[in-house]
Amino acid sequence: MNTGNNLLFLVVSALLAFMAATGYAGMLNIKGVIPELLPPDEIFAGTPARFNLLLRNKKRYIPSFLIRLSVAGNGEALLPFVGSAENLASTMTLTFPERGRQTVGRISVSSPFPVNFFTRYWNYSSDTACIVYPRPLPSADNGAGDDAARPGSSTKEIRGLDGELEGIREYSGAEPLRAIHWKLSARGEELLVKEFGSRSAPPLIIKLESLSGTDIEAKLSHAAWLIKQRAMEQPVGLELDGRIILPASGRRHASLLLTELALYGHH
Amino acid sequence: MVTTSRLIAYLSLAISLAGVIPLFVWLETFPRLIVVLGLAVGMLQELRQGRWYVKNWQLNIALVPLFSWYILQYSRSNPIQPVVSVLAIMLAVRLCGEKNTRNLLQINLLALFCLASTSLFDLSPSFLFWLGLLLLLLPASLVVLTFHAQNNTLALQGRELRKILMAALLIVLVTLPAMVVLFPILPRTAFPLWHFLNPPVSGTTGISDKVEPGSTANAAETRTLAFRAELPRQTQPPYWRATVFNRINGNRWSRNPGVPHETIIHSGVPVSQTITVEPSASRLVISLDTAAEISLPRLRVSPDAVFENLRGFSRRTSYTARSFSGSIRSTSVPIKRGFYLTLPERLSPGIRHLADQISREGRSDAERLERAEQYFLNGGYRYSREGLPTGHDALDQFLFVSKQGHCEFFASSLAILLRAAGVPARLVGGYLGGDYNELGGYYLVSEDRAHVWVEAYVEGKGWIRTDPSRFAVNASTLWSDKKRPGFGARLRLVLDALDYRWTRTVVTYDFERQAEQLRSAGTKLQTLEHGIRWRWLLLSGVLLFGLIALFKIRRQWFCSREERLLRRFKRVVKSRYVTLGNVDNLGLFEIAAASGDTRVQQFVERYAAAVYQDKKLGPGEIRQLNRLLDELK
Repeated sequence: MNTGNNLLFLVVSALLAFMAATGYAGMLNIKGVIPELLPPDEIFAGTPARFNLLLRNKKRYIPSFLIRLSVAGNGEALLPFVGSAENLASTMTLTFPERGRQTVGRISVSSPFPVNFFTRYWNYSSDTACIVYPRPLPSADNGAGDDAARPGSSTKEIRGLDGELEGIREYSGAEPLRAIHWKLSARGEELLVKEFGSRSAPPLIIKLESLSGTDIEAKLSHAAWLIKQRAMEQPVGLELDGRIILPASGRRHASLLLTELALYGHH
Repeated sequence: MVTTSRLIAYLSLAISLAGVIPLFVWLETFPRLIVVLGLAVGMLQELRQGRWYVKNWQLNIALVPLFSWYILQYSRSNPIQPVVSVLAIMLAVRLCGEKNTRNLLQINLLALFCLASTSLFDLSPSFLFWLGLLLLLLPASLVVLTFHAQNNTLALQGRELRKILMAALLIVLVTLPAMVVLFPILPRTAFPLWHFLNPPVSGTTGISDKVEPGSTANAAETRTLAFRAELPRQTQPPYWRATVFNRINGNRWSRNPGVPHETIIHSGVPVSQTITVEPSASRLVISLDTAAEISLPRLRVSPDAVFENLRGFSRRTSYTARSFSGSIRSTSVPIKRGFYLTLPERLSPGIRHLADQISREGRSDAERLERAEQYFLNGGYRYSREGLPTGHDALDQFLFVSKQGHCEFFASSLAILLRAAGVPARLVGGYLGGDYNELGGYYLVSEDRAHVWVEAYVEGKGWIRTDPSRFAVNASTLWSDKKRPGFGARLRLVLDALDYRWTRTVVTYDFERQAEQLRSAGTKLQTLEHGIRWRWLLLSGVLLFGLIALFKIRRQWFCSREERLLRRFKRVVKSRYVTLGNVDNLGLFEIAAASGDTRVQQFVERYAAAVYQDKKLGPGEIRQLNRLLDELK
């Protein structure tokens, strides 16, 4: 006596075995795949920021396929193939709606591999913290400081070392040695120095209170826009609740100011 | 570079072929045509790079009347054809349609169903080949389909493609052993649920219910397989008992079911055997002469050791039997002699005269039997299947004129002679000998091995098997299996051994075998001797411990020298600078700075100089670094 048809049993056991094998393969596929997100230098709220993504496959012999990375409701990236023991660099675009100190949160590594019946996933909590600057909003204000002026409109009373050659005069002993015009000085008996104009515009002090905008967030957004626009061209300072950050220029200073704005009211 | 869409289109075509080819021979003409058409259109589409689709809704509408027609065709007596026709047509239709992810999945599934439905017609081992092919192709197709579903414009590089196909192959390699494990443990029911779907077997082969020498001039000889019997090779060609003919009417021997009661006492060596019979219309159970017990659930046993399977052998069936190979079987009570002494109404004078002579010369049953056997031995009889005597006096002609005939003539005439001489006798029908398959360890017995011999009752001894055919002058050339088989025959035996294994392990596996395996596993555990059990437990414990230990230290053993060195460094720093906390979270240079130890800094600098530039450390460097760590300890 034979119960039913054993060849059908054979097919059923093949299907069951296949399900088990694919389940195991799916688990193995996402196992040991560790994502790492590196934030860019500047992140503005509401603006997509491109994070560097480093995916490490720690499995020595087994590659991983169709790895999908997602950050809860934020960004997604699909990597079709990650070789065994490979570090794969890619990018992932994330958008943070609010300013302040933010963490990336949960990164989920998922894959429908090997068959598209189930998607397996694995969550990593990423403590990658980043400072999200206020969303920049164009402002008609010039910073509201009394001494503020548009760049290029300043009188050339200020001498510097980085502008155009404007004249030659006698060495007073205060000028730096590199300002001495050695060629001309060699002709006469006195040392002559070159006079340069200064390219730098006058410093701009942004007073948060006097910026236009209905609420503090709008003011912060305008301030962020001004800093972003000006900081590379002229010294920019900031006045926040009576506290003054002295004007300076450059990328480093700009990010210092933007960080102040980002964390304003969060301390 | 190949796009996933092309790849899965090719794969699904191959899968459809693997699913539908084994079914094709069983299909009716119309579904066959549709299948050929579907495959042709599918291939044509691929040649035209996947264009020229028939719209899905058009196809679905075309299917509706077909389905309705096949639903009407379905009946209790014709349950299979409509189902397999619909399956094959659906597959063909899907092949014509658009190849989106859903349709491709359906093609894969339908092809598998088509193959599975083949088993409703045929149980041959070729099924395993097609299933294996599908198991190889399906995972590849499903994996590529997964990629396709994620990105349908994906093009794969040769290297990536190789990796993906390798992954699919690995899945197959895991699937196969898991399937082998799952198959025997999948729960079966004691009652065959799907039995009604199986087509009835129209077999007419098997042991005939009568023996009538003289009915034809030439005996047909068929090489169709009757059964296989798994048992060690016997020194003599074995006698396979099926039935007993105890009544004679004219020249015709038949079986009177009212066999008088007798109790057999078996003698000789017990031999266990597993018999696998081909489907046949007969209910007779074949076993090595003479069986004491047979493992079949519904069995009717007659006192003359004839077993009948009340369920019949409508499908290939396996059972085990325990037989005693001795040629003498004594009975505990005297038999009813009169029952085995009845003679045909008209006995030829020649036979009567011969019987009287034997009766006179021998005083006891044993002596008379010996005389009769002597007569055949010295008579110069030839065994032949051609030129047989016919008519009502066929036996007379055989005995005194032509002296050639087959086993029915020999046995029938000996039994009549014995009965006429006053010795109870009966004919036993079955098979003699068989081709022994060394590879499979079984006898392969074909229908042309069918044989009839005689059992004579000797007072004081019991039933004695005597085979007059073996007294023929040419007997030695007939049943000796000493001939060395040719290459073709040997190849056939190898193939048959595979077929037999397939039948034994897959086709006839059932709930009883499943239960039996469970029982035997339980008994084996129970019967383990106490001491052996302890030793066994201890051994497996040690083995388990060893495996766990190996698992634990696998990282240590199987990692690179650089990793080992780094691990040692961290251990040393951890024990020496407890205040540093968890060094695993610190970078190497951070550890060096925090420790403030020049030796640590030295180690880190040297290590980092090599490893962070993707260079391997030389043996000299490793020695130096280890020495530094020794100092730090």
